[in-house]
Amino acid sequence: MDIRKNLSLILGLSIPVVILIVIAIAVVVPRFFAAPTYSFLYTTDQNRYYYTQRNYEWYRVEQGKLMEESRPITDPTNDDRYNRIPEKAPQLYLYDVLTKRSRELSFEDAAKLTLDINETSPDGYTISSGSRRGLMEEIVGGSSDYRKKFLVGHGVRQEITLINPTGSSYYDFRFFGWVIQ
Amino acid sequence: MDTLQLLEEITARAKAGTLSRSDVLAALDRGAQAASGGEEHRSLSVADVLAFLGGLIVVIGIVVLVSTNWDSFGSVLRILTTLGFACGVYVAGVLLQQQGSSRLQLLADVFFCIAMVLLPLGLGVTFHEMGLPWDNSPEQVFLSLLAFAGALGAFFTLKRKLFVVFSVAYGTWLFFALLHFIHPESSVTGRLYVCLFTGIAYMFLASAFAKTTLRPLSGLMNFVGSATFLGCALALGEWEPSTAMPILWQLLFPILIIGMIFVSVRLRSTAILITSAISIVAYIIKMTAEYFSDSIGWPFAIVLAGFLLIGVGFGMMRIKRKYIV
Repeated sequence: MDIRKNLSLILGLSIPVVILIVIAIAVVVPRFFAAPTYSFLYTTDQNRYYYTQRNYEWYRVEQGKLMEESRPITDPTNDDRYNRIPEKAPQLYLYDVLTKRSRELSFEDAAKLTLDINETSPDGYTISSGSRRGLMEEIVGGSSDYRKKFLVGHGVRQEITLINPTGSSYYDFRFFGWVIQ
Repeated sequence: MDTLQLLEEITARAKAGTLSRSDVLAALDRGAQAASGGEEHRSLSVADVLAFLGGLIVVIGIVVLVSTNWDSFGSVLRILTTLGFACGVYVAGVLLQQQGSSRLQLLADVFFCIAMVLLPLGLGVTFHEMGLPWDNSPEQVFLSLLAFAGALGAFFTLKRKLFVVFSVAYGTWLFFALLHFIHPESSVTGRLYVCLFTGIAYMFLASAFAKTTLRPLSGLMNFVGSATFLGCALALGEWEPSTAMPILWQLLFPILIIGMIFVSVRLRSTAILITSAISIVAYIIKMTAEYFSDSIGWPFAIVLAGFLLIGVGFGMMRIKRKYIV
């Protein structure tokens, strides 16, 4: 094959191949050199959005420790979810970055942890919501799945396996802090 | 006999009345047809346009018919009405192509178009009926690969130019499907850069086609490629940018347009000249709206833009007459 004669064809076909190779390298290589090391505590309690509308949170983090809020007495006969405080505490979860899995945690165990409440972990990662849509949805338009979360940092974007109860929404996720100890 | 002698001979015979204009044109047509490997060159007539429109309406009708009765179809019938129909129409086109008549060749082209348009739909339906999620990234890569291979295979088998158009279209789909598979969370700016380079690749392919029997397709490739390139370059300039790169793109854009006009003259491509002219118009309107509408007011800004556009139009016509045609 005469390269000089077919130079335009070779360039035209090689540009997309080069782009794919460059992007593949840019996406894959950082994963070998960077890995998150801090686990984090979170909850995906249902209807949390409505609670925060009334400025109510079940837990808070103070000086690195998880604490329970004192909560008002509820009326069990009140069916209006906008005005009812549930009796059951939201389930806490610990995302382990080494196993890349979440597990349930009791309040007693969670209270023993030391937490860093900064959005960015000590090793430079943050949690962002996903917009992971298929190619066709990208072209014709479609809703993003903001319930999906990603650990983002150092050129790495790693999907986090959260435990999302059925019916939970984007607003139900609450990050408490990075586990320092 | 060299070209100059041949032309003098033709002039002498035309004066003597032994050679007519139609004889010369017919000889030229036969020569071009032989050079293209036998596929007849015909300029697009009203009948051709109506035939392709009819084919398009057939496809629309099939899609509507199938979609309204979709729930009552079983898996086999769904695959038959989409992929099966595409294959049947393709086979019909192959049989028509083997006939000598130019009208049947046109009909064969229409059938091939229908088959190529329905191919990805048929493959998607087949994936769906097999339980594979057709809109996921890995399945999109596989689907686009099959469509691309089908179009490319048809071109190498039947040697018809329209399969190249579909090969390029499905190849582009495969490229973006692979890109989305590797890096689904890419930013808008990143995608603009990818599209920019895709436009450049299209123009290189157009240049390659111009040297072969695929020359009639180079105009379309140049148009799409240059429009993509210039459109992305304009978009990378953003609106009232505050960071360095978008400002650089805004400053660079006029230079890119001048470069594209130079390329259009070198390649004698009217398509690139047209997209360059449209890009100048878009750039003038954008810059006027962005930076001058508040200072000199909208009415003066519009008048200024109008005069500049008149100048652009005259300039482009002059370039075309002097260097391209």
